[in-house]
Amino acid sequence: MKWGFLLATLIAFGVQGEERHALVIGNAAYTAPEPPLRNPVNDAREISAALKSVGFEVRLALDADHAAMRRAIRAFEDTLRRKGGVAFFYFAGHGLQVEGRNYLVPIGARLQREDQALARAVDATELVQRLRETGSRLNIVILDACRNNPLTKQPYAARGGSGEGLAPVRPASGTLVAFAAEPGHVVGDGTADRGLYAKHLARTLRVPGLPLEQVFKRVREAVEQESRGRQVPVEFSTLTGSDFYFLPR
Amino acid sequence: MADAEFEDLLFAYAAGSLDAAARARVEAALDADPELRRRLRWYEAVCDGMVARLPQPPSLPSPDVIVAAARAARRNAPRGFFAWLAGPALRPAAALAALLIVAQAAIIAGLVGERAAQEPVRALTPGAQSADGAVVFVVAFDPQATEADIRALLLKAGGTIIDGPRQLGDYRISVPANRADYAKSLFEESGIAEYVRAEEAAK
Repeated sequence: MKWGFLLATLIAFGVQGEERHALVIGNAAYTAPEPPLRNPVNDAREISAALKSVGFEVRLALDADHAAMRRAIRAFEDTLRRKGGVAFFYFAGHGLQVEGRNYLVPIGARLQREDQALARAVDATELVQRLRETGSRLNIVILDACRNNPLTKQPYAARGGSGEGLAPVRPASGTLVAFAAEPGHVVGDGTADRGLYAKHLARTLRVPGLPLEQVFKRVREAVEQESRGRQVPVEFSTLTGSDFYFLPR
Repeated sequence: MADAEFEDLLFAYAAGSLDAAARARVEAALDADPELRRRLRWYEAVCDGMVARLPQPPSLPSPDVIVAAARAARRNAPRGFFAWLAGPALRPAAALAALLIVAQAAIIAGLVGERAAQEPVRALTPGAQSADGAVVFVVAFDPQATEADIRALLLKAGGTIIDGPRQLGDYRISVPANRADYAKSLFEESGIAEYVRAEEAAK
């Protein structure tokens, strides 16, 4: 067992010989008016374990409120500024779009109106830009947050052009942004103890010899098949240059 | 009455140097015109030496221009308003206004000197230093921090906001290089900044 772990670590550490850093956030214990979720904490743990197995140094934040999310994001950015390399950000929890921008909802946000998202949630669009500004070589941003907008049942939710699911993005260069479902669509919280997208992503990124884009294609196929076409993950990419492998052959 | 002439009258009113009849005329005009009342407040501030506390309306002359004009008028035109301004009735008020302006300039110069003398000259490394020798910090303030708290901290640090806030509350603040260490300590120990970082120089 020990030797197996050591071997995995050595393999992972040697993968492509560059720094790999991840911030993984799973928010489940929401309080009213945001409905609690069942799976994001499990999903975050599973993704975290998968990333560690392929050589990422992972910072895991569970049930993070706004202050905890701010701290985690800034610490992550500081690491990237110091060490560079590959950045991987994963968020599972409630997300919503307001006027074309996507917001990640912290625990305790208590959003009564959409405009409160600006101060009480984290702007994923800006987050992508911030990661780019750290100077990291490659940024992979996963928003497993396409659950139902907690505000869409409110009478004022339709204002501002907002709706269900997340809004499409135009990532900064050197960035791949992946959604667990198509923009404007929502995913269920899952009926088991983990979400469909996280399950397949954690499994697929450990497959040796798959370039990054292939990983997401396989995840899409698996999720679409298992959900019988109800959930179709998508990616927005501005990646160029040589392929990135979570685990080379 | 011509506008310029009434402007002179308004200034004299602010200086408290009009007779009862002229005062009544000015007050009637003030009752009818809010813009006139705004200009009166500016002249009153000039007379009270409180110019620094008010934003100067762009359409009005600064106090030193007024005094210079008064002096020039006294030299070149013995008749008219400026002669009257320089006459026995208004000479004390004009002198007081000039004195207040000089005193104010002296106080400002003193404050600037004091600020510069507060901290020894030290360089901060590493940090982005702009062409004008300023160091840029990224500072995120606690969401509960008040505008007054932030303003007081910036004044003490000698910092100027050059960008922000971003969505997570980050500001970019420029500080003179010789105050960078001092400003960094101030930010870190302020209790209202949850994140402080000297921005790296561009590579």
